[in-house]
Amino acid sequence: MIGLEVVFDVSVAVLLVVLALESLYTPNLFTSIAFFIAFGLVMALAWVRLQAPDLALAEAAVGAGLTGVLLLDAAREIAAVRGVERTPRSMVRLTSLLVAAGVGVALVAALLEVPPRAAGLAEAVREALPLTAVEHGVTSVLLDFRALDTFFETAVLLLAVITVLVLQAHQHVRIIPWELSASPVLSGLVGLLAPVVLVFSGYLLWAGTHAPGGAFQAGVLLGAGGILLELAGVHTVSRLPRRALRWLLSLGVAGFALLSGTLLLAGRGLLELPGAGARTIVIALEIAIAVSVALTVVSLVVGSNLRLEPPEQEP
Amino acid sequence: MSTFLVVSALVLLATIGAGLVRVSRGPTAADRMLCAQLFGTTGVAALLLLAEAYDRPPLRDVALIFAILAALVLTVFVKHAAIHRHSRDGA
Repeated sequence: MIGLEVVFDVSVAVLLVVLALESLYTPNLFTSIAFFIAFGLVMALAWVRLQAPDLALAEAAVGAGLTGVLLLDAAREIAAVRGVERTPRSMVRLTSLLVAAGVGVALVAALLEVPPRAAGLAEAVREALPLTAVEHGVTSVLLDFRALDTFFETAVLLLAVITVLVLQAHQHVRIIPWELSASPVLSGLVGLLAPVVLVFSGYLLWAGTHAPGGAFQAGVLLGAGGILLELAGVHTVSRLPRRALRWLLSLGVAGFALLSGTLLLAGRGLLELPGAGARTIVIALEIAIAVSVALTVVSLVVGSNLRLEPPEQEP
Repeated sequence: MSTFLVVSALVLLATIGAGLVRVSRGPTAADRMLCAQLFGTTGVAALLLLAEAYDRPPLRDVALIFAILAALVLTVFVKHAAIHRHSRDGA
């Protein structure tokens, strides 16, 4: 039995390396993307074998719901402007090579610092779990023990989506119309899938309190559902008033900021959750993060269709 | 029983390895994309087998995400193909 598992794990590892090499070194961009989609799938299997179902869920949602779509769009846009774009200067290439090499060396050095077969902090988290508001270790780390990290992660996401929206608003990079003409097949498919996506992302959010799941996975899944709706011409996010969109995009960060401000004023530590009501606070934060993540995902893909600068309001 | 399930998952993994040839050779973009899509179906089956073999219900959720979102990438692919044909016919 043990031998069999080793065979499975080695096969997954070999397949991952082959897929990574193929997607990096295939001359055709489209083939690269097909390989990369397969890479995400096998990576999810690898996370499963590494006993990290939370990561497998995230890999599945991001890989199947976001990166494939973004890469396909990007490849099409590159093909459309080919001949116009310039190849990066050799100085730029050299600098990026040096930066990449530096990061690589730092990562290897950090890896060598880790003692082999270290138990990690899993046992400590398991022991302290009764002190937290939730029953799942990963969620307790994300929203209780290390809530500050999650706070900054939501801020990074917000920064990323702001950057993308600003670039798209000012450079008009998107040249491809983002919508299919009305088709009974597509609207039938979306009509079937959209409710399932909605229910399942709600389930994942709820599951996060006691099992693998949580705000990020639920948010990405919900966002992927939003992309499907936009594709079918059902404009949910792209017709939001821009003020509402901005607030909803910042809901996760705003929730964290409000919470830490209130706690500091009440004389507690930053993000030191009170014993009573901690569960409600954690769930409210999860909902806020999920909404922000979902809108971020849709905005990244459907970007310039979001009318951030409507002409009638500009002088 | 568990051995049988893991062996089946291993066979599914081997079919992904074999399918890489089609992704690599094509010849058309649709061949490559459909092959990657079929990997998704294979992956769902492998995840369900592993969920049973190791009695880990969360793996069914992972499989469900892949199953639900499989149509998304394909829809975007069809969108690009449709726009391409439209612009070619219009030109």
